[in-house]
Amino acid sequence: MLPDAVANLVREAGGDALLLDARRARGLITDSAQVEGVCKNLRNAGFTRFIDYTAEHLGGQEFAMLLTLRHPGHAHAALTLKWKWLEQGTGNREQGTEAPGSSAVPGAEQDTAAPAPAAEETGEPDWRPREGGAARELAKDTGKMPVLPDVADNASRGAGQPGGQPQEAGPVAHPTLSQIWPAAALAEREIFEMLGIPFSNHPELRPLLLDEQFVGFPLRRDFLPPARESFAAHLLRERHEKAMLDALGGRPSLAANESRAETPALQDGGAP
Amino acid sequence: MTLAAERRAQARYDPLLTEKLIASIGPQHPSLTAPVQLRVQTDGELIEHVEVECGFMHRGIEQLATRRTWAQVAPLLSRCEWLAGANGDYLIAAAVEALAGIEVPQRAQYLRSAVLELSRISSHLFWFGDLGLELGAITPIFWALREREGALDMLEMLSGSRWHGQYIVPGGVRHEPPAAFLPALKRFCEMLPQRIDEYEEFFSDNAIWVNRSEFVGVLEPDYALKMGASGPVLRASGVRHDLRRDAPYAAYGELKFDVPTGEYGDTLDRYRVRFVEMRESIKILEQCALWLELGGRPSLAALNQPSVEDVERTETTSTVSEERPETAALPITVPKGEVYVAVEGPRGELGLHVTSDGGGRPARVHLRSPSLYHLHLLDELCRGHLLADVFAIYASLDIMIGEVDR
Repeated sequence: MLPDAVANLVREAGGDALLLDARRARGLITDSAQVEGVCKNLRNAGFTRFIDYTAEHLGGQEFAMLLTLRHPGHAHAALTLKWKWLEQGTGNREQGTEAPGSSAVPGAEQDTAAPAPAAEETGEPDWRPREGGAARELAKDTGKMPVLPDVADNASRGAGQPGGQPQEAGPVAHPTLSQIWPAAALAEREIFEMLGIPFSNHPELRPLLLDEQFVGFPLRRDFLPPARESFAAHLLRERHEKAMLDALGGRPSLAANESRAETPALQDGGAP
Repeated sequence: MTLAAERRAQARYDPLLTEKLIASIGPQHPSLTAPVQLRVQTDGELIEHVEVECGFMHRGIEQLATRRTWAQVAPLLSRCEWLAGANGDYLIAAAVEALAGIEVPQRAQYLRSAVLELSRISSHLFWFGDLGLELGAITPIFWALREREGALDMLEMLSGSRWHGQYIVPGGVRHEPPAAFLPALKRFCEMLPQRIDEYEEFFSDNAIWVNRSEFVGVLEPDYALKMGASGPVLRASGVRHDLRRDAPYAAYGELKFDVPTGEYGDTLDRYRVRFVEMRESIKILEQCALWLELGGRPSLAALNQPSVEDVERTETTSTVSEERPETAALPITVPKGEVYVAVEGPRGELGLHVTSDGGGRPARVHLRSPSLYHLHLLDELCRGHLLADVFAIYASLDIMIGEVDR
């Protein structure tokens, strides 16, 4: 019963279903805007048990989102839903998505497609992903995890900008599933810190495991683990930092030291 | 409103002008076996809110796993849940088997079930000792560790290691157990029920324990399901869900055992459920011992283990470079695909999401940790109870920080 039923549920909500076998059903949703609809359908159909939610970086701007659920009546089968999420820099979600017809307003497509090049010309900060994606750029600039404005969901964001500039610069957030399965809030916090995927309307989007000062998203493919420094380099750095701290702290500043070093030389020169 | 007026307004409700106190428990605290921080906001002695901060022991295991060969992932995973490390071994083995379509011989399945149950018992015994310590009783830990030695000795017999055995490998188990294993297993199964009776006599009806646990930290079944609870915590709330029964893996489909449930979902029920579970585990072990004795000699299919040179070469090439080293030369590759496998661990549904890109290392490994969800139940469970109850409730959830932080 399970694969067919799930396939129908996914199709009803406007997604494409891909099911492998009865024991492990697979749903594939092509557009992240359909996710909420599909998930609500599934929850209403009895998939009330949230098991796991995670994501995988596929490279570039592409992420695969993986959601695992259980149905109390079919406890033997864990259902894994998979969909693709594209990281986008600006508010217009048409850019880069290949699934048309899912957004709300038909006319919005032409309207919102225009401002993307315009933003570059006017010298607006361009949040579209460069190398590591927009969220990473944000992290680089501010030196910490991106603190995101509570972004409205994708559809209303696209519709609310009548041909104008994107109001807020920042990556487009993924719709949260914590309204449907409250336990997803924890998993989303982890996805956010590990992969840099922001979620809209999340109750508390802050790091779960990583230090708050940590920069970077460790589970992205382009993440470089910080190189371990040699002991000698460590000692040198420590000494340098101590010297700098001493210099900037209550002791005479670096400039004062220099001038003091210079003055006896002058005196020596001037005395005879 | 002035401060004085505010105080007067408050005094109407609270004549004693009690101030709110935030007690920060952890990350280093004698009652916590591993680092986690609980910020407990109390009104007098009553708890209003518990804020949980985790991640103090984050080791980046999921990130590490993508830079290790398939054979090297298992040790990482078994260190997530170190009190029952065999679960991690089983998960990665099952994932590789599912991806590569490997059939596991039945004898190996029975040996796997035996190892998993032994590690469940040793984990539950340690939990019992820890529970006693949290409540100020020092005897349980000595008793529990004494019995746990028996289980650990048997795990050592199988693999040479007491905790992180790596006995379960993709394709089966590492080798046939030594001749002394089955007699030792049978002796253990005879000895343990009597010892558990002793514990129950000493602890279960103890007035102090019952007073401190009955109707303390009640977890409603609806809330438990909503917040992702599983395992003994969920069963204590009356939901009969056990993956060993509902989605049988290893040899559990052929073994007979009961799934105990609680009635009220309080601390006492979580305690009772784990004790019944230990008895059920003994039943499973007895059946495994009988089958293994009568089952004849096996043919254990095991994947080719990488040679020492291969492992050393990977170690050196997978250091800090951004590029993944050439995977074609590595001895083990796993077909492309993705799979979610789950076991009923001692703490609940321990799951593993593995994606393979057809190379010598996993593309993504994600561990579904039951303790992560249980840890965040604390706020709901502790509300309205006394500050001293935090430890009883915390201990009854049996939280493994290695698995939360990964």
